[in-house]
Amino acid sequence: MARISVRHVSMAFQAHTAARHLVLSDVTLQVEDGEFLTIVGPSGCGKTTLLNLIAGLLRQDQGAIDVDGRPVTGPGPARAVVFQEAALLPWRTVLRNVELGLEMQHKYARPEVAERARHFVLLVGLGDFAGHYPHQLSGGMRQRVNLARALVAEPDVLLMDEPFASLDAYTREAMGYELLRIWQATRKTVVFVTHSADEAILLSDRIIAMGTAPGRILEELKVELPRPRSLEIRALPRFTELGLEIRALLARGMGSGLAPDGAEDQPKAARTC
Amino acid sequence: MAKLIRTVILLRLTGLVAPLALWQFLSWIGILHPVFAPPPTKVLIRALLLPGEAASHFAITLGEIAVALILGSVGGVAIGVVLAQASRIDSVLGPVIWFVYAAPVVAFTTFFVVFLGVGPAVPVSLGVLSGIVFVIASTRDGVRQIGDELIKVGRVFGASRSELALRIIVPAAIPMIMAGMRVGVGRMLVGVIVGEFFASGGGLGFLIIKYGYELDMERVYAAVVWIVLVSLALNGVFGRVERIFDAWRTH
Amino acid sequence: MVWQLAGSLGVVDPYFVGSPAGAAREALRLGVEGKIWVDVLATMRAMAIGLGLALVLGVPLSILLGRWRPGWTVAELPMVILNATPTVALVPPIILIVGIGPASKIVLAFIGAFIPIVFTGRAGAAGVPDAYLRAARVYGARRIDLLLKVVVPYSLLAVLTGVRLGVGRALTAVLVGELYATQRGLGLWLTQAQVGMNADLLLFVTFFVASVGVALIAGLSVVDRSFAAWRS
Repeated sequence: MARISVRHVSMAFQAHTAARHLVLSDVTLQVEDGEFLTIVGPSGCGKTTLLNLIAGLLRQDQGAIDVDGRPVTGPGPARAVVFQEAALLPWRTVLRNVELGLEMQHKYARPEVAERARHFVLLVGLGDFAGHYPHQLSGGMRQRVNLARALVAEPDVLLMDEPFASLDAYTREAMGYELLRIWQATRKTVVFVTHSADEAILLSDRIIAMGTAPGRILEELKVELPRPRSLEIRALPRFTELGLEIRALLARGMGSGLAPDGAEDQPKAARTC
Repeated sequence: MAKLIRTVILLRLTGLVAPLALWQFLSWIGILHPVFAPPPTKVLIRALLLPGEAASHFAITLGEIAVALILGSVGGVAIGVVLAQASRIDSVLGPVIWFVYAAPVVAFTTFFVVFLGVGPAVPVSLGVLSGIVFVIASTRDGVRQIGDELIKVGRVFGASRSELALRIIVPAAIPMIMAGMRVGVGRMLVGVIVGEFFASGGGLGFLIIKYGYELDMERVYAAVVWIVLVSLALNGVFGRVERIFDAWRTH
Repeated sequence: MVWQLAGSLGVVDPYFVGSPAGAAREALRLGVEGKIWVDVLATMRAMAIGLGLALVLGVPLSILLGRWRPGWTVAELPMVILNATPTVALVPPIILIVGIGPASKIVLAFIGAFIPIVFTGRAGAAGVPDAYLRAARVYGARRIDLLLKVVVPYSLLAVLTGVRLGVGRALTAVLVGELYATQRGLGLWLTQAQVGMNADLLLFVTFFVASVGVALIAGLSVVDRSFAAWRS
């Protein structure tokens, strides 16, 4: 049984001009256990909305979303989200912020929560910064805390919404490799959202390309590149082929002749797509 | 949608009217002391009659406010401009300004009374002292943040130092100056009232003391009501002016 | 400095104006004799209790008004009017009603601080970034968790600003109260200095009282600044 099952989901937003347009139109997909799935597409294609629906932060107009066979009715630690803005509580230290992922589930006593949090702080490589406050950290470090918090919550699935979008290109790439390292260690089921085709190919087992107006699935692509992934796979011809395929798909899905490369021109965090 | 607006208006009115209605009711059934907590209706009547009875005092207070405003704004802007451009003077005067800002200006009351004697000079001085710091600070900051480009334009077209100040610097700084004035006006009013309490021989503040001695609480509250109205009017006017000049903001 | 020079050079008669050196002499005398500290304590005690009450009552109220929109719709107008009321205008009525003594000073300090605290606290509680609330909800926060773990800590940062604004108002009100009704406290010294025709004393007392206020504000500013990093 698939871990995540999305069936015929549609969603409309009422714009201020009262003209309705479909943010998501008849979206169906499955995510298998332990799989790293990426949803890639330009702004406005509904990918963030889809992620929020799976997380339970939004309710779909039509269709069904199940996680582990149970319908999603609201947000919860089983579907931990790594947001684009780290949303770390500024009055808590790194360690205490990571603890937040677990302390409200009331599964463990306080000392054990702290122990588990410490484990993940170390896992993401911030052992020396456990006592620091968010304002003392760089953007990349904050996202690592964000990730640690998501992992400590013992989620069934990990949902990541353009987590590296506000980082510069090099930090972004480095964080991608970091993420893979951490993922190998924990083997969570991941749904990752991005507008960067290259990032999608680097990270995932499978890619779902989405188009805009209406937001819909264009195609599914399997990424049969060897793991563990490293800088060298960019040299493989398959990497380039996939890149071209995705760009062509997305361009057609936008109805324009140009291939959007998400990395340079899309404004950050401006749209809830 | 219209229903929502109606609900909001109703709620707002309730917030305003309910406490007064409660007070009125408690007065009526006799729980509240009739002298010390007169019913709002009586206070309202007194408040309406007060300008007629004590017109001269109103004039005194409004006059003091006007003078304090003029002195405070003109002086404040002038000093602020100087401070913005002369950083050495600024480092000396800066702490003094901050001291006056942080100090309870009432501390200077007796000082002024001794030197200026009883009369409107004391409320005006206290008012100026209280409010001027905000004007100075906002003027200084406002002038400082003027982009170099504007100044260069002025000099290219041959402006002298004073023309530069008048035609470019002050107008560019006005939005921040107005913001400072709005903030300062409240404190200025406090200074004027405190001055009137202890040293004036006239004005709304003086009336509060006078009626207080006579235990004429209705008139005391009436005077307080008028002070609140003056305060609201000042805040309203300066808030409006500030918003008008917002369009001039360069940043 | 300029003052001292003016006095020594005979430009201004030091008997009437007083001089910094004279003021310093008075300061030493009073400090050593310890007479003024009783009054400092009296004023500060009223301030502390009044401020404490303002916090105890004001913080929960500001959070309530910040998170419950209908409550604020009702309360906003009266609060705006209260905020526009100079606390000092209320000094005589309150002293007449409550009576001379520490109780009325506490009431004055309370009123002075309460209103700014509620205003800024409410704005803080209302302005909690959605991102924090969303994150907490994802990790299993119920309404009470959201309140205690996110809204309250965030609002306290805003309340700090309110305390800094309120302290000035409260102190001014208390001092005016002491001047008005010659009660035990720093205000008493201001009156005595005037009556005593001792210019040095007047100078000293003026600056001493002013400095007390400055010290309070300065202390709060330091605290405020150390938490400022969290605010961004």
